[in-house]
Amino acid sequence: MYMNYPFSAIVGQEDMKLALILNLINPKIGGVLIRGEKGTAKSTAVRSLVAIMEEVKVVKDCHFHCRIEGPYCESCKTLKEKSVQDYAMNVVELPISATEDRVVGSLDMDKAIKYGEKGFEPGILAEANGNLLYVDEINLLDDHIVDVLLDAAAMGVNTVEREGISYSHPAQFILVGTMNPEEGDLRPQLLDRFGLVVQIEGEKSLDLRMEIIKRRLGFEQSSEVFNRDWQNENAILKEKISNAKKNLDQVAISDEIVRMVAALGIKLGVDGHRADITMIKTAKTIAAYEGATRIEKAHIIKAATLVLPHRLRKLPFESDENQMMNLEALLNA
Amino acid sequence: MREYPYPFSAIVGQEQLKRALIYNAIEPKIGGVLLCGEKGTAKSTISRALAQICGMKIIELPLNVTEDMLIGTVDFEQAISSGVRVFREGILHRAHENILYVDEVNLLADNIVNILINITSNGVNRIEREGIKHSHPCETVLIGSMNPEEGMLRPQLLDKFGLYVAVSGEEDVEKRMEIIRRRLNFEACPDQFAEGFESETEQLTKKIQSAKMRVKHISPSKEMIKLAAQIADEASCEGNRSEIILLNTARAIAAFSSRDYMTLKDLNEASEFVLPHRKRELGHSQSRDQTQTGDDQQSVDDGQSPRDRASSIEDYDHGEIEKPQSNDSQSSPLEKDQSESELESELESELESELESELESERSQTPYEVRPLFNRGMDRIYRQGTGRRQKTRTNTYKGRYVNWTESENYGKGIAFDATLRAAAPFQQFRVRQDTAFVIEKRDYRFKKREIHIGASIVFLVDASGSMGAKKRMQETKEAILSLLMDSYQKRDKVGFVSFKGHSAEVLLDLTSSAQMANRALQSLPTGGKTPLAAGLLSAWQLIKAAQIKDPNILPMLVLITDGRANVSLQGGEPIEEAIKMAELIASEKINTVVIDTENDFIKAGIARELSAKLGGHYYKVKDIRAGVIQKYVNIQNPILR
Repeated sequence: MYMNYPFSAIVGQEDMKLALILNLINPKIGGVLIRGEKGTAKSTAVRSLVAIMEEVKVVKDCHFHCRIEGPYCESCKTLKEKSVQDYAMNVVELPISATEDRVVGSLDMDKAIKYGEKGFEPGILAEANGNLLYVDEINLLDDHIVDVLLDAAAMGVNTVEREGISYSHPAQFILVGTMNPEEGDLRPQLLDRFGLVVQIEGEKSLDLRMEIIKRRLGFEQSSEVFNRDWQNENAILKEKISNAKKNLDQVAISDEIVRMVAALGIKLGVDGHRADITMIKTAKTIAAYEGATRIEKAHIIKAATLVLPHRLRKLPFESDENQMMNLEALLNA
Repeated sequence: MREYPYPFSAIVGQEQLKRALIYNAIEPKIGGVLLCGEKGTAKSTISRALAQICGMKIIELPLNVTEDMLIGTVDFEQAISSGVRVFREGILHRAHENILYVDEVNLLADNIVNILINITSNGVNRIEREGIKHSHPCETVLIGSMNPEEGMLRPQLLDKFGLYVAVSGEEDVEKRMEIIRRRLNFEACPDQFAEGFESETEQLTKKIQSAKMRVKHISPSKEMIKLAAQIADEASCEGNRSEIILLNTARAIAAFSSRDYMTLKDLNEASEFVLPHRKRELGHSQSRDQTQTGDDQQSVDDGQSPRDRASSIEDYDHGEIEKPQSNDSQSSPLEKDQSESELESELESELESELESELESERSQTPYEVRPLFNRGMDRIYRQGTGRRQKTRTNTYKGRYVNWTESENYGKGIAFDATLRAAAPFQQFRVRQDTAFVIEKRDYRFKKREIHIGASIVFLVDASGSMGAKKRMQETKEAILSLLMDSYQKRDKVGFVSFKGHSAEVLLDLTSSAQMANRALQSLPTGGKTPLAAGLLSAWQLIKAAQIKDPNILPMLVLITDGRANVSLQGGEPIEEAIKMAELIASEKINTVVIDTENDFIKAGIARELSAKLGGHYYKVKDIRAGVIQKYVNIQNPILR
């Protein structure tokens, strides 16, 4: 059996790991885009999330595994009594060769031919509802697929009006994309739809690199043994995420913090308000993850480094660093 | 699906936007609104919230809609069970007397845009396809939202939107804070949040309702009509649509202010919404017209300035505008007795086919047309000109499925839905085996698709010694950078060729990575003589090679030089050779731009001559640099973009 590399065994790449964990705690952050060179454990990290995702309660036998607390699909809405089923959240992958009909869903051919009836065959977006949707090499995906993907991600609903089918169903998922910027970039509009962006590169320190090799070899020797060794670590992390989830609503947001974020948004001239809102949400989630009861400035700074880089109105080739270095100064001003 | 949408009255700021929507709710004849602005400014949220207060439904038009679903099609199940083709309504039917909302309207497929243009000008949806003849009224308020960074709307569709609002984020700290707070509260507990705004929402709903009643009785005085015509004329709007919309909007404004009469102020306010996207400025659209329509625009001389290919479509609208009531019912076949004279219906279908062929010719024109984009004045070159992602029909397996065809030559991959519908009526006569459904070869329908393609731009840069002088290279780099900015957003491919000394060198093969292009640009070495002909040859080869790989690309050559060629390629006179190469490139229909860096006191003007031979466009390097600043200034103005 194929086994994933354990998430907690990934060495370094702290920003990436944090961004992923934050999204698990609070899916409303709006996903994460991981940009970086090849061989930096991007895909490994995303796939390994399965082991630390929580179990949830869903409506029994629902195609879209609607959460028991809603929102519901058309058929769940009509159910008078909903029976509960346990469901383990999953990482759903969208291959870049996927066609639009498979992504959004299509006419159910089987039903049409066998019974002469029209039916909706759910696609990947249906499968992704309530899960994490992972798109590797998202910058290579056909433009029109990216459009529908991000539209669904933004609305939380997949509306299908094609191939003789009118259908809509909830499509709330954590969107995670990975890409190598050398292959071309995403359009700014699409970048903005990602809550967070992390830029990663290979670890430079010799010790870390050695550790990476050692662990990888260990994993390849026996993935089962390796996973067993890390089981405990994973369990601790899972517990921490689950606690953070519970704490999330308790985190206080002072006016001072809101003002700081709003002022920062104006000073940096970011487009619209999505950056402000995402920054607060992210900071709140960081606070919850750290077990804090209120958002502090440090949380905002950390959040800003994840939320702002792709939203700054800068010349395309300007480096992010200049502006990010001033961040603290800007916040203090 | 979201049980509790964000309450309309809870939206902070964006007064213009809210008003534009409310006016449309009061008087649907205004003809919708286009919301244009940066991302994350509640464009979609507000539009979707409109349903709460206006008593109309919001019908969403998803980007990936197929033509069948939009206009309606054969009811598949009925066709099988009864063998009869029965019409099944599409989105347009639902949109009748409701709001049709299109998010990212500028990304809509071309054929869908054509239908929207048609519907919004006729108010009727006529279906003649798949063995069905049907029509139903479709009077809808079209609301579109878009981010101009992603490309502009086609001018005809732009004109169909009654009002226009440029949306930007709030800059006031207090307001921004309130936005954050409300959003967080809403997400924490949507139902409670909505409850908090219930009374406000109710009040607004009532106000709109009474305005709706009132607006029917408001009619513009003669003076007002005259004034409206004057305002439209002063703004040099095209067509007579603007006056009508001005008056209708002013009526709605008056009604919303609980008045029974219009004032000058109403008209002024209306003009803020009606004129921005109709004003003709700096002759931009004019120059575009000339390249696109050629001579046929001279035939229109009724004071309605021609625009685009649609001049004759506009003529039909004309009638509608002058007497909205009577004409509407006349042209609506629903209200017409079916047995009415055949002659009339024949005439009508003739008109329609004319209109259809107009659209068709435009359709076939759009895909590969790049040249006119260059003509729209200086500031376009680096934004739309070079970088605009073009939509094109494709017969490969890639792209968005937009419609079907009966011929395999025009489509790839079986369109199951259309195939099933085609086969459905015959099921009763076919011999079935294990399945309930039998498909024969003649039922096959194929998918027509549309893809966006970017341009493939080769920058041919003069890196000779003469370019090193007087910061010329620095200017050049800045100019290229500004062009790259656009390619970066629009997914064009860029390549670099430089020439100096005795030869040309391909510094960067065509790539979609703007980063790599920038790196190549920054490390561009200079010095030596000017082998211009060799440079042209090398760039041409690069383009040819790319065309072999993918014949669908839009090739483009940007030549940056001072024109002082002094090294020959084949032993001839250097300048003459360069001009010969230019002629060769021109014959290959490669779009070209020449950027002249010559700014010495004595000008040889060779670059200009080259440009003429290339049949492309000519700019001075200074013009390009000035444009960079303009880009940020003009970001909100659709005409200037």
